[in-house]
Amino acid sequence: MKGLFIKDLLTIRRYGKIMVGAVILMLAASFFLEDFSFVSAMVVVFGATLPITVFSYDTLAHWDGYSLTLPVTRRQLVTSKYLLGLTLSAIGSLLSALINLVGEGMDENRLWIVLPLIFLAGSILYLSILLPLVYQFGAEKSRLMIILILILPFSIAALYEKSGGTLFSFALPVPLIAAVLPLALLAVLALSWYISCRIYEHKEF
Amino acid sequence: MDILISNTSGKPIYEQITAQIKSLILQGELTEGQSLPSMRLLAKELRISVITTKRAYEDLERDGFIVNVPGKGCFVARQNTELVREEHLRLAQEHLEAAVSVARSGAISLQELTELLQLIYEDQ
Amino acid sequence: MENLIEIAHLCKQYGAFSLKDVNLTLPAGSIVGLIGENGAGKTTTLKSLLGLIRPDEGQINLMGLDAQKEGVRAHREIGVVLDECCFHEHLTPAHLERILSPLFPSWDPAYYAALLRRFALDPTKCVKALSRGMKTKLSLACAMAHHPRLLILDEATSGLDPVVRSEMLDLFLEFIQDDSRGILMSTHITTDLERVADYIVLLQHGQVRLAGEKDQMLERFAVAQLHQGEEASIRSADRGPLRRHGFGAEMLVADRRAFSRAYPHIPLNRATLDDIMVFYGKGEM
Repeated sequence: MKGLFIKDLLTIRRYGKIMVGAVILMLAASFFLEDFSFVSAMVVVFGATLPITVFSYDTLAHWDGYSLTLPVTRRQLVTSKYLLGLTLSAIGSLLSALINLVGEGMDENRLWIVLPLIFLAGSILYLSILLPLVYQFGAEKSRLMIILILILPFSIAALYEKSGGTLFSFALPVPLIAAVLPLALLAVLALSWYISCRIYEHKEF
Repeated sequence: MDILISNTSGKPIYEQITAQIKSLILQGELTEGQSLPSMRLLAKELRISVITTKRAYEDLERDGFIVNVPGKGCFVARQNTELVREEHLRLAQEHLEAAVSVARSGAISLQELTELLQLIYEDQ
Repeated sequence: MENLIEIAHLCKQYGAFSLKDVNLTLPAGSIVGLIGENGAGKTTTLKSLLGLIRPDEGQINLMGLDAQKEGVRAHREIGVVLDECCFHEHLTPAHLERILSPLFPSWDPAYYAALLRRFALDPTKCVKALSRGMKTKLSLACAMAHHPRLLILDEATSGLDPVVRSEMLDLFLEFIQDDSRGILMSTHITTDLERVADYIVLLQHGQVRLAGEKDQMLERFAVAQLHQGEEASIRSADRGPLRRHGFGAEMLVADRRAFSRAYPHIPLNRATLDDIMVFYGKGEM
């Protein structure tokens, strides 16, 4: 599987430059606007969408059929994509936290950490929903679904931030959520992985 | 050892190989005990199928021209003089058949042909 | 020696097309040529062999291993070249080594480097910059670098110029010098197979129409040259697929010797693999 990972990283290196460029531009804009929330959100988004980009390049190069002639199981191929998605989302979140730290400094509600974590959770949820869709329908058709699915968690996160962290504080037992959420996410991710494996194992090339 | 293959001779390739190796042996260019190239190597160099070269070698072994030592390869067999004579007779017959065919199509009589044969034989 | 490939009663319904009862064996040390028109089922058969498609029925064994259950083990010893270059444009041969070598325990970096040199492939040049012939050579280098026992080539030499094809053929013949190895090639270029193939399998409409030793096939089959209407004078048991032309007709004969004994006056020409394929495909029965 290490080989597959390397291939994905090389693809990202080549095609991720556009995203890096976009991020730099946004960072510059953020300095002027003094609002780093957008760029920190986008970094996580990019992290989460890169695996899908990798998918479409795989299909374009006819790599996906070829990869099945290699000594890898279909399950391993799916797992490598999930690992890629998780890694990129985590890196995205880290970067996001850093940007917040540098741009806006620490704050009382620790938004500079909390927001990236929320975005991370959002990314994991997003990957869990999207990856099986991509396996079933392909990267291109799933792109539309990307946009729709993305709107929800980021709207919630944006609202939360705008309200200074007070939006849900009366309604949500945050510590409880903080404890349960990771487990729930893990379960959702595992289910998603299982479904993707089933879909891919029955796919014909 | 050189082997030349003709695409147009109509003779199957394995027969061509067999015939050429036989005549190389009869003419003494391949001597007793000398090793022959492996079937695979011959197939590769001539760019033909291994089954073809295998068949040629099997025919040569059947006719007593070579021996196949398992694990070591194929070697030119000790020449049985009777076999050699038989082979020479066979070749001569082939050539004579060709001459007769030409003679017939050219309306040359048997007598003329025999006279010609005698001349040539005594000359050489 | 064992059989490197054993396909038994392969059946697959694939949309409007289906493979029916396909059997194919590849003995160690041999080259098997798979021929047939476009759409005859060559690629479907190969895909079933490689696990890209799941057969509806049938048993496929690769080097004695069940292709479905022990695919990974089997694939470690197989090198595959497909008809299109399957590498991302931005990858270089050096990248490909980093990607593929962890997957193959038997990957030989020195051999890979030697193959790249032999093919004049720059390890730092992107796939994008390569011509079709060079891409195929790269695919072949990647397929051979781990010293596979079995090479599977799906139209790998189509679209290549004769010089490159000849180089490929030399490489295949070298490969097969080790008689524990084998090559399965599916191709339109029957002239290559007429020289080097040991066995031929002809697929038509998803079924095996003909299978056997290439030498025997080319000896047994012949094309009879007939006057117009002469086919009526031939017993139906001796008839074969017929093709008419403006000045007579040609008929594919399956047993040259028997036919020339029965009809000594009818001229017989050599049949090429192309002839056999076209007569079976387009001839009147």
